[in-house]
Amino acid sequence: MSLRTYVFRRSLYSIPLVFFVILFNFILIHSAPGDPVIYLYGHLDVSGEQMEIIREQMGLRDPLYRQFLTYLSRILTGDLGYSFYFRQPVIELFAQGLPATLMLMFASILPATVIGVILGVIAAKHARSRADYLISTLAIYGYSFPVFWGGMVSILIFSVWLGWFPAMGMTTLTAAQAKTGVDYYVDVLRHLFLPAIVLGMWYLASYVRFTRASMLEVLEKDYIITARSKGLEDNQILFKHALRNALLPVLTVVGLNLGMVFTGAVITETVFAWPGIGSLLQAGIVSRDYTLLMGGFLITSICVVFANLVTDCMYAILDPRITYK
Amino acid sequence: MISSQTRESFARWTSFWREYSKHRGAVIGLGVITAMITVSALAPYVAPFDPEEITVDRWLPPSSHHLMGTDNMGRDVLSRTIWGGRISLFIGFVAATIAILVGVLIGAMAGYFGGKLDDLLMRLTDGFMVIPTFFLVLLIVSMFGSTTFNIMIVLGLTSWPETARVARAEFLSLSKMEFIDAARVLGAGDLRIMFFHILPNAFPPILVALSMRVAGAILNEAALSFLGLGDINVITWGQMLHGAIRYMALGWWMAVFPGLCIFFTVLAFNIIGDGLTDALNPRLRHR
Amino acid sequence: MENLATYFFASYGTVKAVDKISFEVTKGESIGLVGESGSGKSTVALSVIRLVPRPGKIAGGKILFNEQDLVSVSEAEMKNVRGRDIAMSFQDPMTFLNPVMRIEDQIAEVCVRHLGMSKSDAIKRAVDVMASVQIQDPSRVAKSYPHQLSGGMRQRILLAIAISCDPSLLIVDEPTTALDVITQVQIISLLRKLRRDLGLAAIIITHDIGVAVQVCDRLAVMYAGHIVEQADTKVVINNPLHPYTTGLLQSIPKIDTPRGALKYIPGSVPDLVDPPVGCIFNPRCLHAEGACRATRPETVEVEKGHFVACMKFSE
Repeated sequence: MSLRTYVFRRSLYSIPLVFFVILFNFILIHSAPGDPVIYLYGHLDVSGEQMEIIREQMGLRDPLYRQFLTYLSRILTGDLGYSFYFRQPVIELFAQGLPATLMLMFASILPATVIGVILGVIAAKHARSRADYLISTLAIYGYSFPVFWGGMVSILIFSVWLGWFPAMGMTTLTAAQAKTGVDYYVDVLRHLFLPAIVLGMWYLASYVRFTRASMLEVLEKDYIITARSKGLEDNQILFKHALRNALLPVLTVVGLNLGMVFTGAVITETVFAWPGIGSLLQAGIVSRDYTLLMGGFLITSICVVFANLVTDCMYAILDPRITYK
Repeated sequence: MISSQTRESFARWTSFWREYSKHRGAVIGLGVITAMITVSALAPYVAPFDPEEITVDRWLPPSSHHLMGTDNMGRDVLSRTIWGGRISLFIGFVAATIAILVGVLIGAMAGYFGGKLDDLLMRLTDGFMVIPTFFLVLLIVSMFGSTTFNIMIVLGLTSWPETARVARAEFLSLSKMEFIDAARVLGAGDLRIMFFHILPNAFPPILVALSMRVAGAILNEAALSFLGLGDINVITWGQMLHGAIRYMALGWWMAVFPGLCIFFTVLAFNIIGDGLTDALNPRLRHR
Repeated sequence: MENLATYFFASYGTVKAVDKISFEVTKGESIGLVGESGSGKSTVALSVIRLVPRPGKIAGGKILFNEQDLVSVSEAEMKNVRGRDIAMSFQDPMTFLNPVMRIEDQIAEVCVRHLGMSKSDAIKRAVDVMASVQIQDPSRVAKSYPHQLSGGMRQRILLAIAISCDPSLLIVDEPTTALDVITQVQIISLLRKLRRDLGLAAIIITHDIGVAVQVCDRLAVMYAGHIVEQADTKVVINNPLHPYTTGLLQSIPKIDTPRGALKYIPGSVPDLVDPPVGCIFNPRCLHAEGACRATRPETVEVEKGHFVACMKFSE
């Protein structure tokens, strides 16, 4: 089948997946102990009578499948509910927090990918040498570092003690210090630096490990022997023959990570009070704002499905075996 | 027949251990973990103070009296760390064990029986991998209550897919080997074959998965507690970090020490996992 | 090749895969390295181009090629030799081709590297080379990927890669093993054609004597890392002197073999970490005597061009 057919079929396959995600979400809401009303409308000060009226209005007396259809139609029109804590529609809140989170994600994952792959290749090329040992050890340290602790420690060292970078937030808040124009962007970047480094370090470590492992596996393959027998230079073999094969699984992992972007953000944003979706979710957790959390779960799940789709398609573009079978 | 097989398995284990001990870090890692387990098991005898005892000596920096200082409620950080280790490690192990049990069960059935069952189970596994599990854990814990029990169960039940894959790969390749045919010819039933013949030989990669899972579970539990979803009735390292974030400028020791413990524990398990993988991989062994 | 020794230094001992063998190939001539699995033939091939995988190493001897000893030449110099002067084609066409590269690239890159051609010229040449290995519709095949082709085609591609830069020596490792019988016949006739057209020297490695007989001028019989007999093909077939060679030839079932038990050589291949003292074949040899168990026999030229390593001929 051709590439176009593959992309088409794969996209089609995503639709039942999204449906499943929505269904799963629905089941989750209704399987929680207690009343969905409480979960969906929070600890508002309502009397028992009013609860009944709400239930009636919300159609909770209806059979379950009816409720699901209502839920489905609401979701499809973009109505993810109303956050009682923030007093805003959930979807608006997400839209507000999205740019900040995206900024953080791109600042951390992209450099981590590039540097991680390069280091992983170097480590694999000189396997078991001192350079490899150094890189691998650093990688496993970085990978084991709890991100939130790393954040806290870096705030301690770089903000509190050294004062090099601001500790919290995305911008400096004092009116007197409010900046505009270029100053504003510099300010944001200063605030971005620490969280991006802390979060990026974990991704970097995991990509180094993964690339190295993948490269080592590929370098043992037979076609590398063929390449060597052609008298090609080592670097040529490394990049033209080995890397092309080794990067495929790495790509899958990066794609998955990007899909799970919001989950990764929660912790870092909490530590650094970075005003993105992560902080939003943290507030939802603390205040038990289930509508917000459910909405977040749904959005994240759909993102993952979408990210998987994109990753699979990219894989199909790069690996000829998929589309020509 | 069985005894010669046991002898062979034994020989495999001893040569495996020999290979493993060549990896210095892994041996150190094992030592670190053993030390930690011992210390936390002996918590009542080792901790210098009562971890819950609130005093007026708040925010004391580390000294010879309080090796790790005191926290915002005057409690000795060292004692809290030791006692906290108990729960953190316990949760880690239990959650990982649950994940391994479920994963091996599913993977074994998929790999051994193959066919439609394999397809079905693998789709289930893939589906699970797509769900943002940490988020799911967040949701479930916040909805169903954040008790230690809940946390362990949920962490365990959301992290089995990776183990399932590993188990499936092992069972798939091992069930094609000749000694399995021999066992079948002798009349061994499927269940018996899976447990007595395949499982002992599939152990090493499963052990690797276990090590990684414990590391993961400890990190996840700490993350959960850090976000405020931990069991407030118990002390864990993550809980301590949650409490420490507000007072960082006042007492860095409150945050640094528990985090250090998490770091070393997770590091140790990861290195052990790496050491195990190296010991299993023949090609990279020779220099 | 003089007294070449290649050992594998494993944690459990040193495997003497190739233990002091000597032979020579001249321009236009092809020699077949015949032997069962584990006899060390592939290791010999890899030793010539110095691609013995870890933990193996060339432990002694010389490989003289164009007045150079390839054993002591630098790695950089060796890279120039590989692909240009000496080229190799491998056993399993599926795993030895890069799955994500187009065929034309895999062939062209050798020409770019050694002949300094531009990419487009090299691709044209690749198509020509593919035609010469009897691939139909070479321009279409050139644009495709390995998994789209049949086993026979892939084997031809490996050969095409090897001959793309007109090497003086071609080493072919098990050209027929991974293929079905019909394709084998095609490859054999292709090899004969190539030898005629290109006039290169060749080392053909195979465990299938039938193949060797059809393609090679000379045969060298290998057993457990030693060459036990070496001579012109016809001579080896009609007048085998070494007991192993005799046993080998006898064990091949032919169309006109009378019914009955298949003949075979009793015993099994020795442990290469701890080889038997004396003649390597003595535990399985029906004619073994005391001297055989004591000293390793010298290789003796019994008649012109016919070498044997057997105590019977060493007196």
